[in-house]
Amino acid sequence: MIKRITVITGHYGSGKSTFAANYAIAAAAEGRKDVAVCDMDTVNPYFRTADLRDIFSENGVRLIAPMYAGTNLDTPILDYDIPSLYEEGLSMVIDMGGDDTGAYPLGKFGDFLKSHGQETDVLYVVNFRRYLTRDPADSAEIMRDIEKACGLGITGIVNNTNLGAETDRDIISEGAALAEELSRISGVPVFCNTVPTLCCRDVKVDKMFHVERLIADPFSK
Amino acid sequence: MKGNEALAEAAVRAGCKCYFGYPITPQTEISAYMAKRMPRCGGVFLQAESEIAAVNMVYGAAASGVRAMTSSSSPGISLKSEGISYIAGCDLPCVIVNVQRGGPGLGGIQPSQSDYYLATKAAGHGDFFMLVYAPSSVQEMADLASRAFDDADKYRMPAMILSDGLLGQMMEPVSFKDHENPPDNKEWACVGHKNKRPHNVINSLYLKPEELEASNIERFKKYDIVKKELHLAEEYLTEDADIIVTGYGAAARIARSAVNGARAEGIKAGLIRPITLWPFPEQAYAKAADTAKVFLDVEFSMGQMVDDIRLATSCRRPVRFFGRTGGVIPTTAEVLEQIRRIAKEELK
Repeated sequence: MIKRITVITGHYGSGKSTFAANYAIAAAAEGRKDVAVCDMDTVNPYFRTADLRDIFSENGVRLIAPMYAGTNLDTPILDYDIPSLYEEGLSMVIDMGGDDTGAYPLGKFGDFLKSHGQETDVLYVVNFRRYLTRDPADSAEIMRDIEKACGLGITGIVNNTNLGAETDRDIISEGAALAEELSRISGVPVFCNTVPTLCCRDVKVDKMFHVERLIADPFSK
Repeated sequence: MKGNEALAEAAVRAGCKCYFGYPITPQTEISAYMAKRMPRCGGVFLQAESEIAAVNMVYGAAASGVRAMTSSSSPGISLKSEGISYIAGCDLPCVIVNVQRGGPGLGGIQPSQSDYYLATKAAGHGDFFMLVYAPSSVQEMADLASRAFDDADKYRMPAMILSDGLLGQMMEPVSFKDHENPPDNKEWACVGHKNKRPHNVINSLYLKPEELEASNIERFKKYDIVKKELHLAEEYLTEDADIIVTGYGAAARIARSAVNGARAEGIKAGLIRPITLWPFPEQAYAKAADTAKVFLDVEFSMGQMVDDIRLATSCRRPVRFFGRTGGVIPTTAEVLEQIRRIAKEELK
C-alpha cells in the first residue's frame, strides 16, 4: 500500500526514476486518484522523471517538477515544497538524484518528514549488476552515505538487479539473495524485488514488483 | 554500466595512472567514476580549475611517460585545443575523450556528432592529427578506450575517443578483457636519471624555420605509417548492396536498424561503420564504390563526414546525406524513409 510520502534514493543508474514511475503508475492503476511523482533530481539533467510527462498524464499520475526542468533555465532548484503538497492531499513518490549528493536536497524537509515518519517510506534502490554496487558491503556503504546526506533512515530496500534486456531468471534470483544479504548487514528490510516485464514476465520471486521499461531504445524505434 | 563508466574503468585497466578533468554534461560520470576509482588503484584523480588546466596537466604527465587521460564535452574540447596542439607538437601519447553535445557555442546538452571536423581535421593549430576512435556501444566505449592507450603509446601521438551523450549516458552490459601491463620503456620520457644519460627534452618550440619544418616532415612520415596500419571499419551486408548506408557511433546503430528494415522490404542496403575516423578507413569505401550505386551518410550533424566519403570513393558515386542536429536523434523510420526514396528515385 503506497504511503503518503515515498522517497526513492539510490546509487546513480540504479533505476530510481524507472522504479518511481512504475510505483506511482501501479498505485494509480489500483484506483488511487491522489498519486504524484516529484522530480527532485538536482544532479543529472539527463533522463529525469519530468521527461515522462506524457506517460504520467495517460496513467492518471500527477507530475510535480521544477517549472524550468528541461529548459534553458534548468538549474538545480526546487520551486515546490513537500509540506504544501502534503496539505493538498497528494500521495507523493519523490524521485531523488543519485548517491549522497543527490539525496542532500531532502534535508530541507527533514523535520517535516521525521514528524510524519509513520506515513513515510524511504526506499533505497539497488542493482547488484552495477559496477560499484556489486556486493552488499559496497551497497551498504552507499546506503549509509545517503542516510547521512539526507538525515533520514532508509526504511526499505528495493532490489532492482537487472542487466537490461539480458536479464534472466538467474540474475533475478541472484539479486534477491544479495538483497537479503544487504538486509542482514544493514538491518533494513527488503521492500520488494523488481522483475522487468521486458524479458522476465514469467519469473516468480518473493515480494515481486513488475517494472515496465518506460524509455524506448532509440535504435529500434 | 553507463558508457561513461565503462570507458573510465577500461582506462584504469589499460594502465591510466593520471586523470585530470573538469565537469561538463554529458561526460561528468567519467570524472565522478575516476574520483572514486583512482585512489583505490594508486592513481591520481585531480579536478582541475579549468579544461585548459586539465589538458596541460595531461601534457605534463604524458611527458613523464605516464598513461594520462582527460575528458570533456564539446565546448570543453574547444578549450583544450591549445593543449592538444602542444601535446601533438611534442609527440606525446595521451587519451582525450569527447562526449559530444550539440553546438556551436554553449549549444545544448543532448547527444550530437558535430565535432567530427574538430576531431579529425582541426583539433588545434598547426600541422598535426590525432588518432580518432568512434565507439558505437557501451562495450566499444571500453574496448576502444583500452586500444587508444596502446596505439597512442605505439605511435607517440594523442588519441581521441569521439563519443556522444547517447553512448555516454546509456546503460548496456559490458565485459572487460584482460589488459597486459603497459610497457615501461619510454626512453624519451622526462624522468630522473641522475646524469647517467643525456637529458631528454620534450618541446614544441623551434625558432629556426628549418628545424620546425624538419619536425613536421618527420611527423607526417609517421602519419603515413599510421594510415597504412590503422584503419578500422565494420562492414555489414555490403557485398551485394546497391545502397551503402554509413555513419559512425550511435548514428551507425540507427542506420543498421534501417538497413535491416530495408532488406526486409527487398531493398539491397548495406552498412559501413567507420571505427577509426582518423585515419579514415578509405579502403572500405573504395571497395564498396566498385559495386554499390549510391551512398547515404547518416549523422547527428549537418554532414561533416560527407567530404571524406567523397574523397575515399574518388567521387565515383553520389553521396546523399541525412542528419538531425542540436540533440535531436534521427529515428530508424526516418532513415528507412530516406533509403526508400533513394531506391525509388536513383536505382533504376
